[in-house]
Formats: sequence, structure tokens, C-alpha cells
Amino acid sequence: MKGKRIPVDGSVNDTLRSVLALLLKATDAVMVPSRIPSKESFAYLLIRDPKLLEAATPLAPVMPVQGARALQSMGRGRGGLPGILCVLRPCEARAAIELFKRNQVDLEDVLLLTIDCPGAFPTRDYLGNPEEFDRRFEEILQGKQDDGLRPDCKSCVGFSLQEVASDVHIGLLRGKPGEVAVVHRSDRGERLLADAGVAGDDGISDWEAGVEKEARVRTGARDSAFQEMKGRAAGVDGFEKLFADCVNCHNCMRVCPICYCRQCFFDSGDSVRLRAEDYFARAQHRGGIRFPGDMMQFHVGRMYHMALSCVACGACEDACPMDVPVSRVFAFVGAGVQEQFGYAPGRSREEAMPMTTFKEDELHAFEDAGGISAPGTTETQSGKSKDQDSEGKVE
Amino acid sequence: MADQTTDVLVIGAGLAGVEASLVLANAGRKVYLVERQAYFGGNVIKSEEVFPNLECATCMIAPKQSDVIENQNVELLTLTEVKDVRGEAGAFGVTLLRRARYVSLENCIGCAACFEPCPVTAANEFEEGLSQRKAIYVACAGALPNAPAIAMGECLRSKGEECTACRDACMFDAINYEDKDEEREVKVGAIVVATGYRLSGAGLPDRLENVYNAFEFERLRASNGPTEGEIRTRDGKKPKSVALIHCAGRREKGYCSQVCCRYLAKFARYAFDKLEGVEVHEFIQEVSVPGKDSQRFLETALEKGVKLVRTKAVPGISANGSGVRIEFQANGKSESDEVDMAVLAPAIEPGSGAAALAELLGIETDGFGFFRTAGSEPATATRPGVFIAGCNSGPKDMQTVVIQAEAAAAGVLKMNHKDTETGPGEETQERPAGSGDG
Amino acid sequence: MGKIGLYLCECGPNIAEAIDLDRITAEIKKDAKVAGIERFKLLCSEDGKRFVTESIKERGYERVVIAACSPKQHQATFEQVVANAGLNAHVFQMVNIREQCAWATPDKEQATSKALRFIRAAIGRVRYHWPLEQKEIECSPDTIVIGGGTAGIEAALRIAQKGRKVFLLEKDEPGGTRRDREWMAARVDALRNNPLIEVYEHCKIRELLGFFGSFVAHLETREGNEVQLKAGSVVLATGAVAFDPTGLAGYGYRELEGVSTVREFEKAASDASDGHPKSVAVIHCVGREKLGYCSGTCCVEAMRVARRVKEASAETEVTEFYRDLCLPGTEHDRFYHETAKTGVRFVRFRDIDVAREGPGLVVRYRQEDGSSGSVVADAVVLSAGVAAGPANAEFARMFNIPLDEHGFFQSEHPVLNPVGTVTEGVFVVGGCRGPAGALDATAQAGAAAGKVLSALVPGRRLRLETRTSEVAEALCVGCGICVAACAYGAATLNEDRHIAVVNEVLCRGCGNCAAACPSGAAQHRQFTTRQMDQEVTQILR
Repeated sequence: MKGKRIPVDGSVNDTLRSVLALLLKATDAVMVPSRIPSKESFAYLLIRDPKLLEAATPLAPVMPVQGARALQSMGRGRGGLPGILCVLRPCEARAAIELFKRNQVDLEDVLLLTIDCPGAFPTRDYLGNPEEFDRRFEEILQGKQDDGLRPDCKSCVGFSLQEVASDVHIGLLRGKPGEVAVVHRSDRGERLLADAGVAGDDGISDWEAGVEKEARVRTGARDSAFQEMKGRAAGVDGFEKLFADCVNCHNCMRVCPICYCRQCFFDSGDSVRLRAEDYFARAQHRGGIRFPGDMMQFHVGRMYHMALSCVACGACEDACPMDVPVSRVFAFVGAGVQEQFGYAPGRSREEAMPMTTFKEDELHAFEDAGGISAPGTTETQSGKSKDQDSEGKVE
Repeated sequence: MADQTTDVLVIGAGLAGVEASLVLANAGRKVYLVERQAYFGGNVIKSEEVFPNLECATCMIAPKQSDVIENQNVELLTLTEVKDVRGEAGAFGVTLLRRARYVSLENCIGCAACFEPCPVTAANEFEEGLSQRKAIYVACAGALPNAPAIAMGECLRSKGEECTACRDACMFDAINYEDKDEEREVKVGAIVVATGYRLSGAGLPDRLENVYNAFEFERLRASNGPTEGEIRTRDGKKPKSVALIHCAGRREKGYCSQVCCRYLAKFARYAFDKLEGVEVHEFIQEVSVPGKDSQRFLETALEKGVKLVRTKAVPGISANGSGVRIEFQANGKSESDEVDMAVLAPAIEPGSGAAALAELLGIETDGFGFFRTAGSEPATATRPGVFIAGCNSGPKDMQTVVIQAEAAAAGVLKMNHKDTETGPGEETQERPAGSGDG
Repeated sequence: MGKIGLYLCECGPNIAEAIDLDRITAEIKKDAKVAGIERFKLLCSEDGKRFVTESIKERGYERVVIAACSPKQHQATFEQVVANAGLNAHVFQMVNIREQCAWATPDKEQATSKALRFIRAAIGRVRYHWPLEQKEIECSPDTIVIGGGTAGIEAALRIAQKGRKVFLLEKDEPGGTRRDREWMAARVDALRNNPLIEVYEHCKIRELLGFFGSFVAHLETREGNEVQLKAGSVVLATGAVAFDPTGLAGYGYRELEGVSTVREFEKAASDASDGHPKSVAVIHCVGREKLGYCSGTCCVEAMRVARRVKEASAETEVTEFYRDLCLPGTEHDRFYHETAKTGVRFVRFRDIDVAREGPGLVVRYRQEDGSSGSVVADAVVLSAGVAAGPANAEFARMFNIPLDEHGFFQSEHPVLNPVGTVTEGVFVVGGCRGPAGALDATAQAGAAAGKVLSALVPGRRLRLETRTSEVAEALCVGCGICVAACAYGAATLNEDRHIAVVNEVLCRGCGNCAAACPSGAAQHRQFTTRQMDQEVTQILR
């Protein structure tokens, strides 16, 4: 692979901004996270005036809004509208592609630009002391390790251009002063870089080696995270314990980019408005039920609906007011089912979602009902079946 | 003409008869569907699984059977045969003979309480004699209509005894010893003959202990059969080796029965599925598997480890203790093989009574006894107004049977009739066999 | 909430003795959800049926649950009974407490408990049943036949009758690839002379829209005019193509002079006037490995070549090389024996190779037992099978019909509906469906005609399936997953409103869309979330 190496002049974000400024000349608009006036958070801005780029923070220390959601809210039916360059973390780009497959994001004349992502801080932590975390983020961009990043970010293996169908990617060679490497990932991306004068033929094998090294570290971290989750989530009891603090606010669903339904089934009358007599009957038979009801059904149901497309972006856990490890659970399950189908969300726009295709020759592992392996391993996890008498068991 | 009618008689309620009846009924025609057995579904309901998807045969055809029973336009007449046919296309007068069932189809609810008290047992023909039934019986579990019949010839009452065991056990007043064979006249405009086939005895060795024909083997494998789906030798043991013999009777009959290579591949699958570690030896002369699904079906079976032996002619089969000895010529040498069980694929020939029925209907048969189709019209008999569907015109697979049945229905629907008008160009030229078209 | 009536059938002693109906009555009364519980000895008797109809009217029941035998036995019976009482058949739910409870176990306690759960489930469910309207639509009894070969022409001739028109569309001229050209000419004449059939030759099909009962085909005639044809059904008869042995190693087709296909050989033989070859080799099964199936007609075709050569010149040596002889039909064993009697030599081979030898050719072969041999020949004739036509892919897309692994159209079901497809109203016949000889193609054409003549009757409206699915516009966000899940092309995306829409004519009520939809926008009318939730809740309580 070859690309254009650009030395960091000032901060990494300064350099990214100047690259964007060049790219904006070859496209009509740029969508990029930008610092909001209070300086305490970031929002996605659609920028046509290059001057506004000064407020842009292409690589922000937090991700309060998943970029794919921002893209989705721009609406569909773009036909004929000016082209946009969309700056996204790799997980956001993957989610955008998954939404594209569901007709929720229109990628016509939308180019996706991904940047190496070192991770993000939990939004609540950041808001507690924005200046402190800004400083720490700068140090991270220069190569320092920081344990305060979100747990999902620490075990994210898709932090660079692995398995994401973006059009342009900017790699970070962290250090003092550091460099960025701009590479094209598609024909459209190549044309954009050429038109903007940002195309290059420099060797970037040192960057690639760095990515590989980091990937190994992250993979190790992910494997341990999954092992831990496998232990904690064992059986229905373990699962319930994980979600015990949940207050059914459904925040996780609301911020999740993959959750695209106009009205979530678990907010609908069919789910939450059963008749009093039905709840009473349940309470009678189980000894008691908690309210709001159907908490487990919500999580398991949501998992069933979106796990194949889960990009482990962590937006859900970031938004949970009760610190339930939602993202870590969903990433674990998501990775497992994705492996079974040989599917990687966001890897390709043409790759059909498993639920929309039928292959006679697949899922043989399940034919003998031996159980499900933890992702990346070959052991099976024996599913403990729920007790037949659930008298006295709280839901 | 004043006597013309659009009603249709379908003779035989197997796969072909059922299909033709439903197509005609859905077109608005009144159909008399006549079946000489007490149950309907023909030979297809004998199988556990069928080509090409190995789905359950009875489950597959059940919705069509339900349709027949519920369809207002179809009058299903079981235990009924055709006695006489007069008239011509558009106005046939048919005499039907309904044999006494001795059980009321209206009152019987199919509870089976009448079987246990019956003191008479006999070989169950549906099960190819592999199990017994009572004098009051149903062919097999799940047979439709869901009501028994009394084989009066075996019943003690026909021998003068006043046995009322079954009637005493019935809570629904469904048993009627006074039932009589009854003739009935119907007027129809067209007749579809769908009388099916049977397995020929030609070229088969005399009864040997562990040598089975195709239907017998199907019944062994059938979950509603005499062994509930377990493949066992006559003394109840699991065979360690099974020989499948192709083309039994082909030379004697003079034609290829076309479906046996495929169903023997299916039998190989049966054996491997039900008998762990079994050896399957298949003795063939020519492998004939036409059709886009057939080769893969055969290959899948062979992949399971069939030992395929090409022999010069159909092997000789003889008993060897309780086992079977197969003697054959291969690669210029004489060889022999010993197996625990052998299954033969006999030739397919028209069902019994075909010749008599052909005469009754005034239609021609060919040199093999099959009903002859008129030239290039694959579902038309040699008499106007009479159509043919199914294996009574030649061995064919289920798919082709259904196609022919639908084509026969088309023939009926297109017949010259006072309300319909056909264009010129209906040809029924004779075409000599073997020449003609590619 | 409608008044619910529960009927318990004793089925003589069958249910009454195996299940404690008193206990069930008491428990259901306690639940206080039904307006009345009626018990009867035999509900399917004439008395029983009358009783149900009258009591529904008398007591004003608006929802009915009947606990009796299997629905397979009497669902239709009781639907009629309920309808006779003036209710919509779909506000009735039948429960099987005989086969599945009374007859499933001798333990009365267990049978009763199970029956109680089932009955509660049905009561829970039926509260959420709504009357479903039986819809009917106008339909066209006309038919469009695409393809003017044997299958297409035979279908057209069989369908055309008073009240129905047939439009036959052909990309070249009608006549197809049938070998007997004289016969074919007569059929084409019949086709052209039929006043009910309109033939469009040299036309191109641009698009096909609509659905069963009202298809619209857009085509371009040879003169370049745009024509729209309306019909209720479509018969696809686009044929197959002869397998082309070009490039197949070991046969020398198009490389060695003297190697030809059967058709080429016959044409050359009929053209040629100069002498006869001294020896001819006919090779069977050419291309079979590549195709992956036996075409069923080539062995016989190969033998016909041999017969014709021998008829023209008895001295010519003819050798038939075969792997397995496929002789379907009752006449072909005899044909084979007669062919052998004329002196044609039959040699079984495992491997074969054709090469040049001097001015002629040599066929070298190896047999199954390892032995080998060779035959010198002036002419080598390759009998090859048939392959799927290249047009199939485009039609598959246009008509939403899947192709099988060989490129042929897939029937809806090989036995239950061999000439129909998942797209209701579209039939596939002849070579486009799979290798087929002329008689097979004719039979299939007849079958399609039977289905068409039966399904669409002039003047009769099309009754639609009532138990279909629907998409709630307010909830649908247009993701299209239901469209992918629908095997029948019944769910489509309305691009303007960005929602999915279910076509009630095509919907078979399978419920796949409802299962696939995450938000619950797609629901099956008789399996709504609410209905199923009630059923499951009551079963599990």
C-alpha cells in the first residue's frame, strides 16, 4: 500500500483540519465532529464554508453521538444533492454501512473518511473535567498509553482500516512530532485525493507495521475481555446479574446506530402495554415480577435484532446511566454470531446481511445441538436451561 | 346434444388421480373420484421419503388429500370400481360398483376402538404381508378416509357366525352389517384413467427369506410401518450388509422402469441412516438417472460408501442359511457375495385389472399392457374423451406423473363442448415408437 | 371485547373419559373470560353442528372456541358452522384436545392439564381475532406465452379457447429446435391460424410488471413499436441450448476435421451426395461432467444416428461409445436391441480420446476393467446433452423466479407444483425448466395449460387468501428486510413512501416477513404479536 505522508504540524487535529481543508476543495461539504461553543462537547457539523473547519475536531476525545446516527438523520433520497465527505471513526463508518444495507443511509455521493482511532473517553468522565481529558487525549495522540479510555475502545480490534469499506483512510504515525498517512480505499476515494492534490506514492510500511503491532495488543485485550464476559454471562443467572442494575430507560437502544426502527418493538404496546391481568398472572406463578417488566426480554430481543451488525462502538455503554456493561456483553455476543455466519459488519457494501440470504450449506455446527462456542475459541459453552418451576423466582 | 355434461370421472385416487381431480375441481368441474381400495393415495403413501428432497411422502401429499376430502366439487368414492362404460365423449354413461365398507363414513370418527375386539387376523396387504391386520382394519396408521372397512371374506359373519365384536365396541353406531355392494349410474363428459402400477413378479426369484422387493423395503423403513421404521431381517436382527439389485425383471419385461436407479440410491441412504456401519452393495448393469436433480441425488448416496458392482446381467439370488447369496459375472469373472439382506427393484407394470379396464373403456394398450397414449398427446388415450395420467401408461417418476395428470386435466378442460370452442389444429397423429423427435 | 363462547366436545367417550371436562369447565369459569361454556356429545354430528349454529345466534357470541378433535378433521366443518351463524370464520379458533391430549396419554391428570392449557391459550388468542375479509379481484383470463418452441406452441394451442386469448412472444420465429421439422411446420401453421392466438415474432420483452391475474408485459415489436399486453398468467417456454463441446479436451471438436455434433452430422449427411463414410464413431455423454446431470435424450439420439447411418449404408461400421445406457420409456430397450442387431457395435468406456490418424480419426478408449482399445473412424459424432439457455437469468430477474444450480428455472416444488413457480401465475415449461425431450415438453405444456385453465376462468373473480400479512405504514421504516425474506415476491418497497407493502394477491400467508421485521411493522393477520403472546403466555403459565 502507498499513501501520502504528511508531517504533523501543530497538533494531530491541526494537521487533519488542513487535510480536510484541501479535500473540501474537491467536494461540496464535509461532515465532521466539531467542538460546540461551550467547549464541553462535540457535535457533528455539516460544513460547506471552509472557515468553519477551524472549529472541527476530526478526532475528538469523546463520541457522544455515533457518527452513523448523524449520517442517518441527514435523511434518505439524496439523489442530485451535492457530495459530502464524512469523517468517521472506523466503528462509525462500519455502522453507516450497516445502515446503508437497511436503506437508512444513502451513500450516493457520500464518501466515508476513516481515521485511525486511539479510542475515546467515557463521555461522563470527560464532562467532569474537559480540559484535563483534552490534554490527556493530546498525549494519547502523541503515543502515550492511557487507562482511562472506554473499556470497549481498549479491546477494539477494528481501530484502523481493518474490515471497513471506507473511501479514504488517514493513518496516524504517533510520536513527537508524528505523521499522518492518507490512503485511498476505493476508486472514488482515489479520485477525490487526486482532485484535492492529496494523493501520494510514499511507502507506509512502518505505519502498517505499527497497526499490526497494535492489533495484536488489542486482540489480546479482546480475548481476555471476552473470556471475562463468558464467565460473567454464564447461564441465565449470570446474564441477569449483568443487567441487574438496568432501569429500562432504553438509552442504549436510542443511541445505538444499528437500532433504526421508527418505534422500537420494546416501546410498543404489544410489548409494554399488556393487560393488568396478564402481569398479575405472571406474578402469581413466579412469586413476583419486577417493574418495569420485560427488562431481560428487551436486552435479549435487541441482541437478537442487531447483534449481527454490532460494530462494538460502545455508544450504548457510554449512554447507560447505570453503568451496565452493555457494550461489552453485546460485543461479545455479536462477535460470536458474526463468526458463525462468517459475516463482518461494515466490511463491504455488497455483502448481504445473513438474515436476508439463505444458504443450504451453513451452520453445520448447530446441527448436533452441541452449544455455542465463545467467539474466537473452539470450546462450547453449555447452555444451562432455565428451571422448569420458576416459583419464587423474580424475573 | 341434450345429454352432454361437463362432469368428469377420474378412475384411481393415487397421486395422478388426486392431482387431476383437484385441477378439474378448481376449474369448477364436478369430479367423481373413484378408488377401488378402502383408502386413497395410491402407492406414494407407502414411502417414507421421496426423491429428490427426501421429504416425507405422506406429509407432502396430505394437503392435497385434505383438499380432495374437503373440496365441494370432488366426490371421493372409495371401495368403488367401474363396471361399465357406454356412450361417447361428452356423454358417457358409467356404472360404478361401490363395494360394501360395512362402516358408515358419516358416523365413524376414526377412534379405532373396533380393532382390538376383532378375533380374526390376516396378512396386511398394504404392509406387503409384513404384518397382520384384523378383519376390520385400516391399511395403515394415517390412511384416509379415517375409517376402517371390513374384509367380509375373512369376517366370521361370512362363515355364518354371529360375531358382533366390532359393532359392540363402537360408540358411534358406525358399523352396519347390512351394508351391501351397490351399483350407481353417473353421467360424465370425460374420463381420466389414473389406475397406477404394481411391481411385477417377472424375473424375480421365488420367495426367499431375506430378499425384499421395493415396496416391502419401503414399508420396513416407514415410520408407520410394521417395524416403525427400523430395517430388520425377518428374524428381527439388524442386517450388517444389504445388497441392492437393479433391473430385476428388465430383461423379461423388455423395458427400463426408469425410477429404480433413483429409488435404490434412496434405499442406500435409508440403510446408511438407520444401520450404523452397514455395508451396502449395489449391483447394476446400466446407471440411468435422467433429469437435472438425479445425478446429484445418486452421487450423494454413493458418497456414503456404497460398493458399486457392475455386472454383466442381473445376479442370481439364492438363500444361504438366513442370509442371501448373490452370484454374478463381473470383469469377465464369476463371483459371489454374501449379504444379510437383499432388496430387488422389480419392473413396474400396470396395476391389476388394467387389461379388463382398457376393454371396458375402449382404449388401446401397448405390447406391455400399458395404456397407449395417442401419438404426440402425452395424456390422451386412443378414444376421444378419455385421458390418461400416471404410471398406467408407462413407468415414470412422481414429477412426471403430476405433470401428466395436469395435462390430462387440460385435455378435459379443452374438450369440444357446447360451451367451449376450440381452434383448428388439434392433431392426434400416430407416431411410431423410437423415431420422431429429439 | 367480544363475547366468547367455548364449546367442549365429548367425542363420545373419546374425550369425555380421557379428560376431566368438569374440572376444565370449573377452571375456565374461574378465569371469567368466556361468556358461556357449552358441552356436547358429538359436535360434528348433524345435531351438534346445528346446536353450535343456533347457540351462537341465541347467546350472541362474537368469538368462538371449539375444543374437539384435530383441525385436520373438522376445521372446515366448524368454519362453515360458524359462518352459518353469521360470524366471520376467522373469529373462531379450534383446539385439538383429542389427538393431542386425550389420545396422547392414558394419564387423565396429564391429559386434562394439557387440554386446559390449550383451551386457555385459544381463549387468550381469540380475543384478539378480527374478522378477515375474503377479497376478490378481477382478473384477466388471457395468457402470455414466451417462447415459440415445442413447449410454447403446445401450451398456446392448449390454452386458447373461447373467452381466452393467448399472446405468444418469440424472439425469432416460432419453430424452436425440435428435430422433426415437418411436424413442427404443421404445429406452427395451427398456431398462426388460430384466431385466439396472437403471435409476436422478432420481438423483445422490455419488462414484466404486475402479478397473478393482472400482468402487463412491455415489448418492442420487430418494427420498433412499443406494445403493452395484459394477461392473467404467463408461461415461460424459452427453451434450452445444445451443449457446445468446443474446448472440451479429448474430443477435438472444432479442432479436428470429421468431428461433429449430432445435428451437424445429420445436416451434413442430408446435404452430402458423395458416398458414405467407411466407419462412424458415436460418442455418448459428451459434456456430462461439466453439466453435472444426465439429459435423458442423448443416448437415444445417438442410437438414431447409428440407425440412420446403417439404413443409408449397411456396410458402414458404426461404433457407439457409451458409459451407461439411459433408455427411459418403454420402447427404447427394444430400440437398443434392434440397433445392435443391425451390426452397430456398443463399447462401454471410462475414458476416451479422439485424435487424428492419417487422413481420418482414431478413437482411443479405456474401459472400466483397465483394458484399452481403439477404433479408426472417418467421422466422429458427439452426442451431447442440453444446457440452460442464456436468457434464463434475465427472465429469472424479471419474474422473481430462482434458478437452480444448473441455470434452469426452479419449479415451486418438484412434485406438488412441477410447472408452477414461487411467483404465482408464472409457469415454466420445456427446456428452460430442465432437460426435456419433445414429449416431456409437450406434457409440461399441457400441465401449464391445465393449471391456467383451472386457475383463471373467464368471468370468475380471483378469490384471495385471507390469512395474509400486512405492513403497518406508521411503523415501517423501509429497511427492506421483509422484502428479502419473502419467497413469493409479495413484499416490495414503495420507493416514494419508503415503506414496504404486501401484495395481497401474491401473499401466501407464510409469515416470514412478520418474523423478520424487528419493529413489528409487518404482522400476519392471524398471527399477530398480541395473539401469539397470549397463546404462549397461557400455555406457559
